[in-house]
Order: sequence, then structure tokens, then C-alpha cells
Amino acid sequence: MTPAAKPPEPEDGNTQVIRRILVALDASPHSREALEAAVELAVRYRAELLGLFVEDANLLRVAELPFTREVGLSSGMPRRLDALQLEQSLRAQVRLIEKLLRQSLRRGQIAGSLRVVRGQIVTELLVAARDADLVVLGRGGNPRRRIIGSNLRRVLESTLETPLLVGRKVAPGRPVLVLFDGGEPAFRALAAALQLARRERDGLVVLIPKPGGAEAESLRDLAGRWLEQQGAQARFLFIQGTSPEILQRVVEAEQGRILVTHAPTRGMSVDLEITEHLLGGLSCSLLLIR
Amino acid sequence: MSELKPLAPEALYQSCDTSGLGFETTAELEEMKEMLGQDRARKAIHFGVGIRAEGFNLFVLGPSGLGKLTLVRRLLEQRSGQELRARDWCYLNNFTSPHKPRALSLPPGQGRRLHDDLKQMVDELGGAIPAAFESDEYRTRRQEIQEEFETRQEAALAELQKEAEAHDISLLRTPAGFAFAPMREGEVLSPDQFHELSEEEQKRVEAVVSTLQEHLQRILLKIPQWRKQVRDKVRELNREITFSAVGHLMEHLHETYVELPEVLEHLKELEQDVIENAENFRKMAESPGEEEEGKGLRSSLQHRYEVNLIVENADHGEAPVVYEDNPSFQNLVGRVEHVAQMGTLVTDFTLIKPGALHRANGGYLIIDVRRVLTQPFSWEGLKRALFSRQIRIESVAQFFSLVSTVSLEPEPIPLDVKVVLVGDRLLYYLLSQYDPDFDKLFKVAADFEEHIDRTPEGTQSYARLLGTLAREHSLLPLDRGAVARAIEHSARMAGDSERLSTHVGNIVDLLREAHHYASESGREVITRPDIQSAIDARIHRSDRLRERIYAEIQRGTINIRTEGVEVGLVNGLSVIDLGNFAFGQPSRISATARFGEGEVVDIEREVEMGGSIHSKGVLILSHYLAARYARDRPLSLSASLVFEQSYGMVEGDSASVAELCALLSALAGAGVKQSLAVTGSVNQHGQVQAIGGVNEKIEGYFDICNARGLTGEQGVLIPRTNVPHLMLREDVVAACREGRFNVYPVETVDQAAALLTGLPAGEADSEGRYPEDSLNRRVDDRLDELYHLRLELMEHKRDPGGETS
Repeated sequence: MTPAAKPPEPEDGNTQVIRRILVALDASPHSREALEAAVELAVRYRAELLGLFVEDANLLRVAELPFTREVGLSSGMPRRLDALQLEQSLRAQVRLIEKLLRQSLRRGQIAGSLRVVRGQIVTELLVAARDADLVVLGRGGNPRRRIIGSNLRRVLESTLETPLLVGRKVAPGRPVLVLFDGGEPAFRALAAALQLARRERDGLVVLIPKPGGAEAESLRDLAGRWLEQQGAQARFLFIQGTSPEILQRVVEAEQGRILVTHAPTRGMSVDLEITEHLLGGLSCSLLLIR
Repeated sequence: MSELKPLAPEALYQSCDTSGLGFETTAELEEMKEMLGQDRARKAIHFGVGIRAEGFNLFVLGPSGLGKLTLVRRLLEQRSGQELRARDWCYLNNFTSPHKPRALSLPPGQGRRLHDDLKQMVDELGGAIPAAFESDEYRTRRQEIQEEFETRQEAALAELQKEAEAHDISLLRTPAGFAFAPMREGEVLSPDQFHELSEEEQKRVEAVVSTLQEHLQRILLKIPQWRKQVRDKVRELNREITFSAVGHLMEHLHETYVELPEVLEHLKELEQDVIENAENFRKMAESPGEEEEGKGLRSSLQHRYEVNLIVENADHGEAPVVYEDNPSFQNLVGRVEHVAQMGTLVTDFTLIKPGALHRANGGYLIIDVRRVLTQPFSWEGLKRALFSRQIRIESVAQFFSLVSTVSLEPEPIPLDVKVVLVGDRLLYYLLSQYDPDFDKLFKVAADFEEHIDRTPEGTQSYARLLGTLAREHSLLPLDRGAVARAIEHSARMAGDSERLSTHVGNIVDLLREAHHYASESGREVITRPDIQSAIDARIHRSDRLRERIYAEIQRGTINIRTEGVEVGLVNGLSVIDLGNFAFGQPSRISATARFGEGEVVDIEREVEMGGSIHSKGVLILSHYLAARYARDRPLSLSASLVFEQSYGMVEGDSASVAELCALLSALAGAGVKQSLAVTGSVNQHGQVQAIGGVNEKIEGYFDICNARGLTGEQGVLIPRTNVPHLMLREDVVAACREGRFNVYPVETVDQAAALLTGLPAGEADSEGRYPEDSLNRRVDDRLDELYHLRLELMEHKRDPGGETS
């Protein structure tokens, strides 16, 4: 990507106010990590935290069908999936999530609520996201095998326009990293990163995806000027491209807290393969700007 | 019969001729390397030590203070240097059965080496194993194994999902597993939607779901197997990695101990165990040193592979000589200690402690027999070890099967030891008599002499002994006078002018005391007066009781007459032995005689205050009486004998001459000179026989007389056979020399009775009649009188009506 001949007007830092943060919750450890990341942001932005728990309609229907059986994961034995039992289990999950959320809200002294809906998970999430300025999800899947959860994958595939934070629990006080390639979305990413870094008084590191040379210098100047206008400073780092492996290594070397980037695209939609690959091995939160 | 003469002063004391000693002080004398007079014992010990056959253990017997232990130790230590039989012994963890620790024997010096090598190895493993597990190689390979499993699982599920999707069926994750359901446009069909399907379609869906479920089941049932495969692979990988870390360390040890197959065997087992327990080394590395868990793991690993070195020898492996002064059961056979852990007592092979038998294995163990017999179970434990020729460590409770709790059963250690028991003769004889095992186990007795002959050579040797002892104990040397006095005292200790005591303990004590007096007087050598002061002071310290008794005699509370004449009363002499001091005490022996049935009553025996030897003496004298004076008529006499003012046991037959004389005096109505005292035993022929304690008895009577003033009449009658035993005190000898006191050697009762009564005893003529006015005639007449009295009485009984006819 080459720098645009005419840089877009830098947006005012105040225009991108985050007032409502939506966090998708279930009882999994990933979801808890996401909740922690969301609470931290809500505290910093003084934003409202909206918890969302979707009771999986598909699962309830499975229970209603007369011939379906649940095959136990460890026993391998088929048994009737009881609708009543499933309802009870869902209610228990809701209670647990409520409790967790309540504790988090109290601890962060922030406002918030839990919305429980029944339906298709991703559909309901996308509906709820319309009211939010930021969506926080857990990564799900198998971190060791660098596989992300199926729901996150579907969200990435969707048309969600709200910035999406895939939350990991990372100690505070570490720098915010932003990938800047000079394009219009890159400025939005830069603005979001600056906002995060300012709010949290953490360092800002701008990653220029060029190994050096005139092109890299020019990109650095572009971002530098913009930041200067905002009265901000940053450290610049030239990197060997935007491949997931490079980004992961940089994050580890810089001990980054959040990596901010515009979503890699293929045509009009997010390049799922690259994003998934990136998320698979990333050791910090990822804020995707669309 | 000629009148009996008192002994010449020369016979009363055998002084040591200083001119024959041939030196000024003992410092000039050559050191005495052998123990004086103990040739027999030395030869026995040499034999017992030299013979290598079962049961040839030694018993060194003799009273204490003879230097038995010193000699035994010296002889054994001389010999042990030539025998290189000692080995190191250790206990090792038995990895397969930890409650049965293994015993390992090693050449001398190798035990410590193995101990240190293994300790160092554990330290090194603590670093090497975790390092191997942190390597990239290990991580990558482990991840590969895990991924292989996950890929397999996912692939199986993905394939199943694909198959399901081909039939418009979806695989859904449920709270506890998976389920299949028909889908339409990403949503599971509701029951209504399902029922809207044609019956055929419904059946098809149900059949497909059922097949898929079975398929899923098969996959899920395989997962545990796959997991197990993963675990096995990880375990194998761990073993491989540990092996690579342990291998080179072990290789070094294998090379070091290549000539010791038992060590190699243990090393192999240890290597296996380290591989099995590699996890613990990793955990140890993960917990920093200060944390309890880390400390606990470290010490538990060091424990596990430790060498419990119970017997360690110097490099040359001389046969050990061990003296166990507290031979309790556990001090002999060893013990297993316990430590408290979380409120319970636990133990392991490192808490096995050796006993004296372990330390003496391959050499010699010296034990005081009295101590081993007084310690509970020790004697049995010792015998068992010697019989079985192995040391089995057991608690007393196990030994007697009193407990059955789980404890250690350390592998028994083969025993090759020569036990030397040291103790009293009495114990030897008792054991020999009553313990059937004793003679099988202690076949060599080394009997220590208490005396040597007082020959010129013996005297010379004794002088050397004194010099050697003085040197050994850092005492001043003795001059000739001191040596002579010490030798004279030694003869007195032996109770024999012709012998010397070999009681080294007493001699050393005497020399120490004499050294004290010599040093106080600023002398460079010990002189005769120093020895004398030591002897006198020693007596003075011990003679409180003697003084009290003598004082009571002087006050008349205890009635002893030393002049005048009494019928039926003779001064007898007894000895009171206070252990290290003995003194003589005179006692009056009285006799009565009257008409009777021929019995002589020993009042002491009647009241059970007389010992059996005393009773025997009285019976002998009564039969002597009957045989001599009533050979052909019944003895019509009833006599009684008693020790006046005696309130304790009377034992011994040394008063039988006195008793007989008292009885003869009573029968004859002849007065006995109270200025004389008598000691000696008598046989049935009227011969006087030797007794013990002759010196003390003479001195005891002398002291009483001396305190009252010597008259020249006073003296003591002793058996002639006791004359060689005389080593009397200087003042007694002086009084005898001046004729103020006398010691008469008697051979027969007649001599004694004649001396005591002043009457001739009288020899019987061919008709058995004694001369007129002789003592025997008076006795004979009196017995005749009693006999006739008896005849008259019998006549009267046979004819009771005679009086009235």
C-alpha cells in the first residue's frame, strides 16, 4: 500500500467517543478475559458496559426434536438432551454471568447491564452491536493451536462495522501499537490508538510496514505530522511487512498491550485467513478498525 | 611333747632385700612390654585370635583390675595391623521394595567415595534434567505429539461434520457433548418444521442422525485411547530426554566402579529410577530454594539416592578393634531411627544406624560380659548374631514379635567378627554351667593370674612393672626402698609372703597416691616412706568400722578378755572384709558340756546364723571327739558351741580349732589362757589346717592387746601351714621380736589345747589310756563319768521297781 497523495483530514480525537461497550459473554475462560479487557476500557472511557448473553436457539431446538441425542464428550454415550435440563443449565449460566458482571461493574464503578436474548448467537450479537461504539469478544478456540473460536470467525465474516476488540488479559502500563500504512483506515486506526494511549498515558508505537528507505520515511513523516497536529508524540518502528508472524513478533518484542490495525481486507470483506492467523498467535488484545 | 616355740620374727615378714634390686630408681629400668605373669592368658588370647573357626570367640576371665582389657586391646591392636579384612558397608535404597534396604559391601575407602559421587550426581541431575526439559527440542517434540492428537481428533470430527452437512445435518456443541440436528438456512429445524416434512423425509433424517451418532460415538470412544497414546508418547519422550541428561553422568560413574559389579547393578537401578522420577527433578528446579516445597523435594531426592554409609574404614582396611562400653541390644545390632512427620513416625534407609557389630565386622569386638548380661536382650541378640553369622537390624519389639507394624527390614549383613568377652570368673563358670550356647560360642578361655611367684626373677620383673606403670601414668620413678616396700605390700595383698599380686589396678592406685605424697614433699622420686604413707592413708580412710569395733572391745561392750583363765571360753578370730579393706576381729567362743545323748549343738546353725562350711567344721570336730575319746562306748554328752555376741552370719571353718579347744576345756574343766587367740580348722584326725586372712587375724588380736598393754603372754595360734602367708605389720613384727607378743604355729589340736590350757595333752598308751593329769585324761575321765551316768540311768529305766522291792 502506498501513501495516499492527499491525506484525509485528521479526525478530531473527540469525535470518536466511546460511550457504550458491548461485550459478549458466556461462562468460558475466553469470555472472562474479554470481560476483563472490556471493563478496563469502560473504566478508562467512563463508558457504559453492555453484557450480552445469547441463549443458543439452535441448541434449544435440538432438545425439542424427538430423535436427537447428545453424545457425551468424555463418555461417548448417547443420551436424550432434555429441554428442561437445558433451560436450567442456561439459567445457571445466566446467574453466573450476572454475578461476574455485577462484580466487575462494582469493582470498576461503572454503569452497565446484562442483556439476555434467545436466538442465533452471531445474529443477535450483530443486532446488539448497532447500539455500541465498541464490541469486545473473547478469542475462543484453541490458543495453543492458534485456532480462533467459530463465533469469532463468523463475526469477522459478518458486516459488523463497529470497532472490534478481541480481548486478552495483558498487564497495564504497556505500549499501544498501531499499524500505519498511510491509507484512510490507517488514520482511523492511528486516531483510535492515540486515544487509547492518551487515555491510559501509555506509550504509543507506530509500526511502519516498510523496512526503510524513502517510502518508509515518507510514511513516518505523514503519521508524525498528523500526530504533531494532535499534540502527541510516538515512537516509530520500521517493520518487514504486515504478515501475521511479523506482527506477532513485534508485539512480543515490544511487549505491547493492544495492537490497533484496520482489518486486512480482501476485496470488500475482511481477509479472514490473515486475520485468523494474526489472532491465532497474538499475545495481546487486537483492536480491529473497519 | 616339747613345748611349742613362738615363730621367729623372720618368719613373720618376708622383707624385700634392696641390695638385690640392682638399680637406684626405676627410671633406669627397661620398659616392660609384656604383662607380668600372664603367659597363660596371653597364649590363650593369641590362640583364640589366630584360629579362624566358628565358635572360637574368647572369654577373658579374672577379677577386675588385673589389666585384662588393656592386654586384650594391646594384643588385638598389634594383630589388627597385619590383617586387612575390614570393608566399608552401606545401605542403599531398594527402589523396588523401599522397606527392604539393600546392603552393599565395598573395599575400604570406597564407601565414602561412592557416597560423595552419588551426592554430586544428584546435585548435577538437579540442573541437567530441568535443562534438558527446557530445551527447544523437548518443547517442539512435545508440542508435536499434542498437535498430532488434536489434529487427529479435529480431523475425525471435521470429516463427520462434512458427512453430516452433505445430508443437511449439523453437528452442534451441547453443554456436555455433541448432538446432530437437521438444519435449514443455518438454523435447526423446529419440531413443527420437522413434522411438516414428509414421513419418508423424517425417517431419512432420523436414520442419518442415528448413523452419524453411532459414527460420533466411535470417534469419541477412541479419544481416550488417543489420549493414552499421547501420554505414552510423552512418557517415552520424557524418558528419552532424561536418559540423554542422565546418561553421560552415569557413564562416568560406570567407568569409575567398573570393578564393583554390585555397585554397577545399583547404578543401573538408580538410573532407571531417576528416569521414572524425572518429574521430581523438574519440580525441584521450578520451586526456588527458599520455598518449603522446593526444600522438601530437594531433600527427598537427595535422600532417595543417598548412600547411607554405616561403616567407613580408612584406606588400608585394618581389622577394627571395637570396645563397646554400653552393649545395649541396639548398640550391638544397630537400630532404625524414626523422625516425626505430620504427627506420625516415619523412617527410611537413611535412618539405619550401625551397631558395634557393624563397626567391628572383619575385626574384633570387646565387650564387658557383666554389662552385656545386665542389658535387656543384649546377650540373646549377640548370640543370635554369632550363630547366624549375620547382623539383622531389628527393634527389640520386632525381635520378640511384639509388633507387626510396617517397618524397615534392612538386608542382613554377613558377620565375620571375633568377640572377646571380658569379665569375672564367676560369670564365666555360671554361663558355662547354665547357658548351653555359651560353650559353643566361646570356646577359648583366657584365664588371668592374680599372683606371680616371689622369686628373685619375679621380684626383678615386678620392679620393672612398677617402673613401667609409673612411666605410663606420668608418675615419679621409685627408688629402691619404695620398690621394696611396694613389693612387700604386693605380697601382703596376695596374702602370701611367697607371691606377689598382679592386680595392676591396685598397684597403679598405690603409686598414684605415693606420687602425691612425694610431690607434696618436693621429692623427685617416690621413696619407701611415700609408699608407706599411701598404704597407711588408705587403711585410715577405710578403717572407721574397725576403730568402732575395737573401741567397743576396749570399753568392754564387746567382751574380749586378753588375760586370765576361763573354762570353756576361747578367743577365736574372724575377718571382716569390706571389699578393699579387711581386718580381724576377735570373738569369744564358748562351749558347755553336760550329760546327754552324744550331740554337739552348733547354736549358730540352730538359729540359721551359721553357714554350711561352719556347720561342717562343727560336725567334723564332734566326730573327732567321738572317734578319739569314745571309740568303744557311746558319747554320752550334750555339748553346745556358740560365738558370743555375734549378731550376723558366721561362715567358714577357721574357728573349728578354737571351738574344739573350748569344748575340751569345758569337758576337762581346764582353764584356757585368755591371753591367747586361736585360728585354724581341724580335720577328723585332729590335724590343724590352713585358713585365710591369717595376717588380718593376727593383727586384729594384736591391736586389741596392744591397746590394753602387751604382757608378753599374749599371742595367736595359727596353723603351721599358714606360716608362708605371713606378711605382718611392722609393729607386730617388732613386738614379737621384743618378746611382747607371740605367734605360735600349731599342727595338731593337742598342741593348741596344751598351749591354751597349760596342761600337757598326753599321748594314749597301748591300752588307750592317757597319762595322769594330762588334758586328754581329764577329758577321757569326764566322758567316762558321763558314760557311767548313762549306764546307771539305763539300769534304772530297765528296772523301775527296784526301789520298792
